[in-house]
Amino acid sequence: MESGSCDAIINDHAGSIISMQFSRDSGLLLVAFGCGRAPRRDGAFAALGGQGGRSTQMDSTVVEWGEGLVHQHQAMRGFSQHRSFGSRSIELWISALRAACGQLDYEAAGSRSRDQWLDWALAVRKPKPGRLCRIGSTRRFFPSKVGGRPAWLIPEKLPVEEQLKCLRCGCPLRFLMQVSASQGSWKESCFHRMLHLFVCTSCQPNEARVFRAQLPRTCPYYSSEEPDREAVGLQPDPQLEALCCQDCGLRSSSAPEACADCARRARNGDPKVVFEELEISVDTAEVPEEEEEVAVEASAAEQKAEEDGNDPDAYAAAVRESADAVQGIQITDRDKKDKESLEKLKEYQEMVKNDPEAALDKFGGNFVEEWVEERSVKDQVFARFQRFHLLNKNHVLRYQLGGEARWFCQFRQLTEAPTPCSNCGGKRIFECQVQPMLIAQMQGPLRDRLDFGTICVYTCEESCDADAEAACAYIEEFAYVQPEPVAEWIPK
Amino acid sequence: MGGGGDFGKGKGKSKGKGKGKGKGKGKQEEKQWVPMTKLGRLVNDGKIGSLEEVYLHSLPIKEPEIIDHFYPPGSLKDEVLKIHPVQKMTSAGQTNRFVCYVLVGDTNGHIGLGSKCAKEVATAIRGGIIAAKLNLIPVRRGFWGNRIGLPHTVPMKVHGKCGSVRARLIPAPRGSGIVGSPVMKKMMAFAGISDCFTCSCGHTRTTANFAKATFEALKATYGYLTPDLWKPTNHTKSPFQEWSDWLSQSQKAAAY
Repeated sequence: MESGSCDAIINDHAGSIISMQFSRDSGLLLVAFGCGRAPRRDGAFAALGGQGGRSTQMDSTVVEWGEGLVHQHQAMRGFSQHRSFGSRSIELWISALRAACGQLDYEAAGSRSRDQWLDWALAVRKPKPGRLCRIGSTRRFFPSKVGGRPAWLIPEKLPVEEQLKCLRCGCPLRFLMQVSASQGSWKESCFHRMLHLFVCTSCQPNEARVFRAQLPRTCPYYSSEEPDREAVGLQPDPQLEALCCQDCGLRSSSAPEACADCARRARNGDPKVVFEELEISVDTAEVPEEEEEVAVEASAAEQKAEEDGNDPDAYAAAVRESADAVQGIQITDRDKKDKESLEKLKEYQEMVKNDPEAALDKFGGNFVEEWVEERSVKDQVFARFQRFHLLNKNHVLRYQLGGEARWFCQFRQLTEAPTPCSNCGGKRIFECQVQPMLIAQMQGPLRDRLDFGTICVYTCEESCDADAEAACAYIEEFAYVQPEPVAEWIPK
Repeated sequence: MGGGGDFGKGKGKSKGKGKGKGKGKGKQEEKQWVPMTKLGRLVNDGKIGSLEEVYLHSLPIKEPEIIDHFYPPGSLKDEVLKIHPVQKMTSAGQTNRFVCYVLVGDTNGHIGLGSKCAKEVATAIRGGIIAAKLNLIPVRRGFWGNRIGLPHTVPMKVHGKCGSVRARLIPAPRGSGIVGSPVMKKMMAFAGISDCFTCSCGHTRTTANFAKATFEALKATYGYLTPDLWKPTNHTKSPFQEWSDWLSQSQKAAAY
């Protein structure tokens, strides 16, 4: 393998190299040149090495020769379909590349490749909500789901019963949802990462607690390869069942039978304390434009009328001007889609044409503004939240790691910084928030006990690992519940 | 590697820069209302019988679909009172916006006013209608003389004042009509008051104070204690309380 020939080809196609593959059998180094932004749409491949130049069209696998970027490649959905790829192979290929081509200079490949990856990083950070669809799951598929029994990521060292009690009232918590939020792209030990969210249904509004668990890709509990749905799905889970209550799924000392609370409920004939089980599917959110609020200013003629006192001529002039202005209103393309509003506009224009005085004058306008202000409490934050909701009606979770929470209303937001991580003492950043639309989409008797504006989850910035010797492999994170205001929204 | 829903892997599922067009959302999904507030959820479940329950307990209404739920389409009339363009000088030149005042009413005892300022006319009108729906208030009506038919006028002599204007609304016999400016006529008609005598003193009638005084008078109709209200009222529980208490009772029975 001559490094010279490899370098020559790299420089020729500067900016479009996206993958390399070293085949031990044939001694070939295959280089894939991409012609599009998506790695699957790859163009020609060339084989370098002892066999000489030969182009073959082959299925592509994505490899990055810079070590820091290998895991980011793994994060791409397009890549995950290539199951033959394993982490051990990556190291093999990197070392083979290094051996084959000497120290590869990433810069030589062109800056365009690097921008391609920066784009992904940005796409990853966009706000990401979840939607519900009806499939049950077990922990082996690392599901993101709502309700049912918690599919604990690590089937031992579960949080003890004291940890699963409400901080305010001491009642046992109920499992609400879990979110599979892998950070494998930048930290090896975060390949499997799960957030389990619990709420207290006795407190109104609900209190919440969240636990995080993470595992590296090679771990004693799961294989490094993707699980086969048909084979694994229906098998029972003896490891977890030995630890958890069969009804509510929380850790119980009397496992595998029901814990004391659930047994009592079963005796009385009460329904089980689990929410309806639904799976969350991932979707991108549509973010609405930010609207500015504008105070109304009177037009020039109307201002003049006010200054002149009650001069009837000035008043008549003002009325005429506003009537004329109405006739000349421009209708944009977007407006055309809103047929009802356009009808009303036409009616109004007709009315004003027939009788200019029929429209409200400036004083009437002032009156309406004052009346509206008295009647309702203006909540800009809620209006913003509502605009987001209108574009994303079914979304129950908003995910934006490192971003900002979209607060439900202006009252009782989290003003000070979240508490530092209990494990490593580091800073906590915003990760995701549960939307109140979740409550409307669930069924079941327990769902009426849910009452919150939004639940914001803050997790450790470094996503630290739990101690290997610790009793509990789950790290508690900070969840802030912003309640829905009742008294604050009533005008004084 | 990892499950189908694994976020770490699933991050590759972006559809370009986030504004996916063919998302598979049907028209049905777009039109269906998913409530956000507690009152919205109770209304959507049908646990609140009528709008009067909401007024009785002074619950804040924050979603316009709540009002739509109680009024089948077409029964709640709305009308644009005024649209006018507003110009604002910015460093980038002049920006044109429209402000729209809307009046809604069901001609049967409820009336609301709303205003909205937006860059486009249709947005302003739609926003104005929504704002007016959220500000719906009840208006009490009564009879002038014999209690035949439905109430048609204010129930008693009421007065309101604002600034120097005193406005007095007096019950009128059927067929009198409303005495006032065209806008006042419209407002009363939307509220369901078909006959009313007005008596006013103070400064000129075309000012906002007169309109406000009239509205104060209308508001006073429900604040007036009349003999038919002498019977002691049985206070009912607020819908929020009612449903949470019922559930907490069933839970308390489950606990010891």
